[in-house]
Amino acid sequence: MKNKGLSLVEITISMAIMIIVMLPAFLTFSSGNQNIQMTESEFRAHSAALELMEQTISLPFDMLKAGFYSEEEIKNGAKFADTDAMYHLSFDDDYKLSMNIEDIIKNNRIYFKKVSVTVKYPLTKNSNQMKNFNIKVIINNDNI
Amino acid sequence: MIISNKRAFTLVEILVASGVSVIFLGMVITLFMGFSRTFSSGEGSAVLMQECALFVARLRNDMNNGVKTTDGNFITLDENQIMFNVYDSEEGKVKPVIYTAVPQANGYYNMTRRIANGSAHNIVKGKISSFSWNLMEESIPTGATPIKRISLELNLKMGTSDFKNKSFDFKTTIYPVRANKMQ
Repeated sequence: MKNKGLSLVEITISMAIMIIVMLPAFLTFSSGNQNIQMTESEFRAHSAALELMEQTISLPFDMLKAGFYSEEEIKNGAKFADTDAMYHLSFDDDYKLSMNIEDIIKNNRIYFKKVSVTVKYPLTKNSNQMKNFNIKVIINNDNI
Repeated sequence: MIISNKRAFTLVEILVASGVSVIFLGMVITLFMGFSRTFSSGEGSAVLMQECALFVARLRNDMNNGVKTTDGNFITLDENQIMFNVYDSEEGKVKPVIYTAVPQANGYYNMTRRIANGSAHNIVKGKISSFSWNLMEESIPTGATPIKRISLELNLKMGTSDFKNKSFDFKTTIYPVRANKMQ
């Protein structure tokens, strides 16, 4: 009986099969790490939105002028609307903030204002893929 | 006498087979080590980020419910402690809340939170490598009387002796909305 060894083709095929089987296990590590980075971006975006929301609604009701405030207007040190209140933003320029303030009027009186803050942020650090995070708050007119 | 026709492996065949196996296993182990290192580093970040998020969320929530004292002050702070009053809606009472950074023997800090005379609870256990908090006060001119807007600037550097090469830096400013409305 003549015993034949494994040919190179057989070895290559078996190695390829092993790689295909093991690759998902390795990719699990990689995708887990990417998920952690995504969570970090989400946490920072969430904090950036809260920071802008809190400083805006800390101002008196009458100072909150209705309108859309674009990411070009909302910069650290820039003035909010036509007031002397300045934006204080702790997060870097990757986190682009915009805001909309809407008057809720009944019988010609502004009873509430709806403040919406949107953060556009990269999915992970240095990623080109962007994601949006949005929070809304309704504040009541203390003067009524 | 029976003579077997079976031939054993030659030294060259064994060496070649061993060589191929070593190269293949080497590749697999290197890949695994690389992925594993990245994963444990990521896991370290996740733990630090989670603790940071819990602390910031708790502080932010307390500050948003913070109220000024009768003399118009909101917060007293020193290097390792901040104290302010919060409105407890369940009991309808105002209570002092105290955050204290407690240095540990390994150089890291615990962050504790205590309400009134209650016991202090650890919010972060030994995972703060350095921090600073500063009270900011702005005076915004509006017609006759300027308004005051106060905020707490928080700088955190999270780290732990378990993940020595890993750190998580976080900076934010917290505005106590309720207290700011009390002009």
